[in-house]
Amino acid sequence: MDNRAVSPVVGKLLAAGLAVLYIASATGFLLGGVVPDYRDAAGDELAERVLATAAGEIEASLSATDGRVTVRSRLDLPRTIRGDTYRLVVANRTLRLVHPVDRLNASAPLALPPTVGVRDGTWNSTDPLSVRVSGPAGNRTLALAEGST
Amino acid sequence: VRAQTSLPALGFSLLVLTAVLVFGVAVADGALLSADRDPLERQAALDLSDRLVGADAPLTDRENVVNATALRTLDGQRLRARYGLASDADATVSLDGRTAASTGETRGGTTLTRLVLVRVATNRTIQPGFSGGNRVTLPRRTDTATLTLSPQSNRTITAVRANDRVVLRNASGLRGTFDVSLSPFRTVTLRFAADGPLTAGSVEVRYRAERTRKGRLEVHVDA
Repeated sequence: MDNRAVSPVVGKLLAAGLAVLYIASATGFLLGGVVPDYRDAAGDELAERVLATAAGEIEASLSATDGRVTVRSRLDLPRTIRGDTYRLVVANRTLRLVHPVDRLNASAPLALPPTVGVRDGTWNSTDPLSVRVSGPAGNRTLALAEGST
Repeated sequence: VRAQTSLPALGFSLLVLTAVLVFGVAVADGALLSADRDPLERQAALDLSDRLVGADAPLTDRENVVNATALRTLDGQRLRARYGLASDADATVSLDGRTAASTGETRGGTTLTRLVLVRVATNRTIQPGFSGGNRVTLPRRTDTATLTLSPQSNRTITAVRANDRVVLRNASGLRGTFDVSLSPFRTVTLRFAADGPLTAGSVEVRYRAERTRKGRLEVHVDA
């Protein structure tokens, strides 16, 4: 009858072990199955919103002024989507968002008057983004420009 | 395993924890689903409506004033060709619930409503009766008028003034058809200087009457 005092110790150990096991499995389930899906879904929404905002801001940077202009407008966009940096690519009058996660890629046509030429270009989300519009009224050129001012 | 009385309590608490977890995941799922909007579609609708009512758009006379005659020329092909719609997107433009142009069937999608002014211009002709003197007042915002002067044979019209500004003048008498330009910013009264009272029918005024009414321009984009 020497091991009578062991009983509470065994009980506590058992309970602690069960709790640790439970927490481990719950964490594994959440991080392994649920959370990545949610991050993708939230990233998808954010990517679309960033793309829509960028397209809207780029279109809004055209001024209705007659004559020769040079306009630089700065855009504030998130540096990362779903924890990764991304790129905005202008090609063929279309704005595309390129992200390491394929599901987050999206594209939107730039609705610009036909008199505005669009220069192809790429912007990395780690740099500040500005849009440069220059030229006379009938022949404007729009380009993505990386740079501080 | 005798006397392990705390184990059932532990099991129960884990059960409660699991229920809370499942509930939390379900709530997060619902929140994520309800946040599912389509900003790109909205952006496309916004672009289209912006360009439809812009100051230098082919459909407008000035910003936000849609020309009803020009709107009638809009059809699906022009809508697609002119306004940079994505190739897989369809758009419908309607004014006051009546479809003005459509590139295809739009179901679901995003609708953007704008309040605009719709301008209708018609040509009107009046023959003033000159019962209150040799003058006639035109409705406001009339910017041009065509006068046909044919006074009775014993009368001579020597000058026509618009709000004290002389627009036509001939000391030996005016007769025939004249175009005069007027200020659209104030109501114009035409005064005819003649050597006596004029009778009805001696002057005919043709002018463009502009009427504007409010309208709801709806742009529906289904991307």
